Amino acid sequence: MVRMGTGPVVLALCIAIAAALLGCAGGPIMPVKEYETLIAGRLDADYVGDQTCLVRCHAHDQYKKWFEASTMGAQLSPESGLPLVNCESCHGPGSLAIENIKTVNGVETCDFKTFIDLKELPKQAQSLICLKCHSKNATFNLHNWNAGTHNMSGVSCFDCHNVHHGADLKVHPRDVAALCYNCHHYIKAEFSLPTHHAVPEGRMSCLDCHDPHGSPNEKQLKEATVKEVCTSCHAEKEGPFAYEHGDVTENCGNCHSPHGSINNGMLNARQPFLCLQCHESHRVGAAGSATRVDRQTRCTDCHSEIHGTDMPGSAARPGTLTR
Amino acid sequence: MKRLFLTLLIMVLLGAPLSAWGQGGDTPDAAGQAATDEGAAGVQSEVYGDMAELPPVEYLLEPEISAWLGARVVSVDGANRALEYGWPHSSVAGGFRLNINPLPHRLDAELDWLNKNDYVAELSYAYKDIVKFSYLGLGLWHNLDHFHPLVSTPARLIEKNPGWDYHVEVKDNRLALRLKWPEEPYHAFAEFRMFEKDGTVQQRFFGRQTLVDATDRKFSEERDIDWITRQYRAGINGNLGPVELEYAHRIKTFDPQRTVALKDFFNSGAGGGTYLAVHSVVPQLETQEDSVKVHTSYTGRVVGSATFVNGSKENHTSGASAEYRRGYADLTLIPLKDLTVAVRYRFKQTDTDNPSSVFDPTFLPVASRMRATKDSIDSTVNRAEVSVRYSPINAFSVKAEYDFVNTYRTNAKLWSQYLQNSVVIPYDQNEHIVKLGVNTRPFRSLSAKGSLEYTYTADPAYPTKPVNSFKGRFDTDWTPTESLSAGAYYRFFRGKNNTVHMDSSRDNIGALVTWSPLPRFSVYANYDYTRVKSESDVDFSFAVAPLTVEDHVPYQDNSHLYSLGMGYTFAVPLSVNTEFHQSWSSGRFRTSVVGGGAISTSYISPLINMNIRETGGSVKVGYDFPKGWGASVSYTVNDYQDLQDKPQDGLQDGTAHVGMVMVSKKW
Repeated sequence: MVRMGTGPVVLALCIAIAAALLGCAGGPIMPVKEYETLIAGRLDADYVGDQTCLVRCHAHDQYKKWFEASTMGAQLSPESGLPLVNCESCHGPGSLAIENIKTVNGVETCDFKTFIDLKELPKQAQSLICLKCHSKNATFNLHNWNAGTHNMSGVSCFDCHNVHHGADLKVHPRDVAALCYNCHHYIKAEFSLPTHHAVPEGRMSCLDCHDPHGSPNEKQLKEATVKEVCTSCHAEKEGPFAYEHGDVTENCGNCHSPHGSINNGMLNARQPFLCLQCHESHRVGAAGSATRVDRQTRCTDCHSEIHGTDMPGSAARPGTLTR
Repeated sequence: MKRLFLTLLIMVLLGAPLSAWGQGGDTPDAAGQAATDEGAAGVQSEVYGDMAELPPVEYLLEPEISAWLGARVVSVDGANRALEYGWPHSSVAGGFRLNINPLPHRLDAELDWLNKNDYVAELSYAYKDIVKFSYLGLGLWHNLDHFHPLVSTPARLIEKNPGWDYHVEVKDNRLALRLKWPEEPYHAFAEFRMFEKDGTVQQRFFGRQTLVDATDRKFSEERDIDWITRQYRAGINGNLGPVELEYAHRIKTFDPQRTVALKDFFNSGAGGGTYLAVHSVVPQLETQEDSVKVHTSYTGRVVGSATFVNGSKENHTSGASAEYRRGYADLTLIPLKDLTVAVRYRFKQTDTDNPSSVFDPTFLPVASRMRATKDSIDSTVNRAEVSVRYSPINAFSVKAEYDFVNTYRTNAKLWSQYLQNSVVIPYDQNEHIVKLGVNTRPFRSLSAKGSLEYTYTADPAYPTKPVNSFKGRFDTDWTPTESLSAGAYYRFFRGKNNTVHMDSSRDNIGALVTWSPLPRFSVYANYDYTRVKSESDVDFSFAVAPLTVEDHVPYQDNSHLYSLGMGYTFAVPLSVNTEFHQSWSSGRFRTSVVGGGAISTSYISPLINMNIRETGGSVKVGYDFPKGWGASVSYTVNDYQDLQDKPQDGLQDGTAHVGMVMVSKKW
């Protein structure tokens, strides 16, 4: 038995402070030397500014159009009032690239191999490209990123966010499911089962329940418990109730499959089998009797307040969830 | 002129003060600009000469405006289940997209309107990085099933609304506002969400027909609902140098508004007999919560974060309440470039407080109207996790994780009496979880990943929780050429709990292929098979003791899903996209003859067996005219077939046809 009160809270605070002090010891970015070297680019190159990237080489091609349509594109302009970001912020200094511009088959090409090879960077170095800026502006959506499932499984910012494309760096809610399906193929199949949440219909997205940047809960669920995720919409089932269904309802996954299921109500199994896995049936009637037919059937026809209720049932057993 | 007009429009919408602030806004960072000029100066290009003499970049950020208008024709034959999420009536449809950026203002608005019940609306506005506002509005119509309770004779069922179509309309509105201190990393934020559920749902109940009725009957009746959930969250955060800190307060309320409760005759089970009982009460609920988050920089060899939450929940109808405390701490270390270690700790404590009794206003006998309650289960969960990831080369990484979970439940033994075989809920439940995972990309065109997880639970609280379980998955993706990609996956689960003879398994296998043999032509095909099997002891008991337990009662669900699609863009701006999908889902569980008397379960065969086939497809033809005009015609069909054809299972056949004609314009 392990019970703790304020101990873990104090411990957690100490961990955070210790980590902060350690992080402070070497400056704002505690050097992960090897990664920092990778993302610094060629040390013998100089920064040359946007003109050289966007006026001549990419002036009329799709990259410039996409970039201008993105939030990052707005950050190229000092008029935006945003922290300035330009091509070299991520790709590295470009003087060596433009010194060696050649015309090949009528196309002007810079020596792009002198830039940082972003695709070949280790995943955590890729993320560091973004985190070096998104570390200092109180971006709390990244609060659980480092220890989260995605980062620890080798997913980087590049896998989901396309800096050059789209009106906003964020993935549009209607495009989220298709993006997630790229890795989580089987989830798409679960949403195709007979009962499912309205994700394929475009009325919900994965982000309604999950936080891909990390969360304190399993499966990167947004809220602290499974029940809190579900009752953010199904609030009528949150309780607390005077008569609870044990603490089974603390995790809706005990009975439901939230992506999709073969069974009504996204249940893991059909009634009465679902309930009989834990409960005895009614001890009533002989085989074939009318009472047996009426009682040993779909349990929630009578036990309709299965998620909890404030009204007692019969006199002898008030907690039967029938009212 | 267009930009001037749009800027004036923004000024009118936002008011003069903000506009004045914008006009007096920051000038370009002179130092930064000089730095780039200096960087470019002296750099000679073989093609362009001195790069510093190039003209400045013109940041156009052209407005993007488009709109579409048309008609949506809907026809449903049979049950609305065939169009589960959709208003089953025809309507005018349309929408627009607006993206304008008269810097430092940025505005994006979008509306996709199918009808008054099906729409998505978005609005976002930003002024530099100082003001950021967003709104998301969503309308959803959900068609619900109409269950037919099983009864021994028709007289045992009181169906007050035969043939009714039940539905819920959902309106979800979310607002978020973030303000930032200029030039400093401090924010204040506020979020609001209103989630409204309005409609008519089915309420089932077990009662009696009249005051003098001595027979228990099953009821099915309609219930109007108009439920509103409101959530407010506000807070501040800031970067304080070594750490970033955030505080937030959240309030969530649930208001059932009208039809809080129903009234029907009910058997008191005591000497009072039948009485008019209040039932299916939907309470008013409220949650309040404070949270503090603190973390170090996200970069670096050592990264830490911690969250502390303190909250309470209250049921304003019965007086039941709960207080909770949560603490989370993460620590991530990168001691070597190839090695990452993460340590996580989770603490969740819930203390419930029930009133000792609740008032049953119409219960008989009158003297017994204060009805006793039972203490709800308090719980404390401690979870500690350690994971290590080793990635010696980009193409290979391995990850190992160990989790320990302890759940302590007070009052556990109060709750054991109605469980199967008198299973006792233990006070303490400990889980040990070990996970191993591998990620590899042996070739640029081939990737594979797999994971295996073993869980041991000592003394599980509930019969559905296995003592030993294995879970695994394997995924592979192959892209041999630019025009061909394929993938396959397999997942499995095996769990056992010998105390109740529970043996559970799940297998899921699938494959997908996408092929683009021509530049404007692509096809895809997907297939997925899922099988869920379970065995468990089941108690079908007779009125006379002893309890009759049937061992290893089997349960199984299967589903086959496949889909095919094609897209083709002709040489002229004409495109055609088609898609076809079908799913077959079936399942059964059955008991067998038990010595001492046959247990026939044929009377519940509509519930224990199922056989569903769902078939759908779509075709869309689009044409792009000159000057940004476009037109499209689409047709979608979905056919839902309950092949068992038993109304008691709540499933009914239906076919939905949806056609849309749209005209669009892009500026």
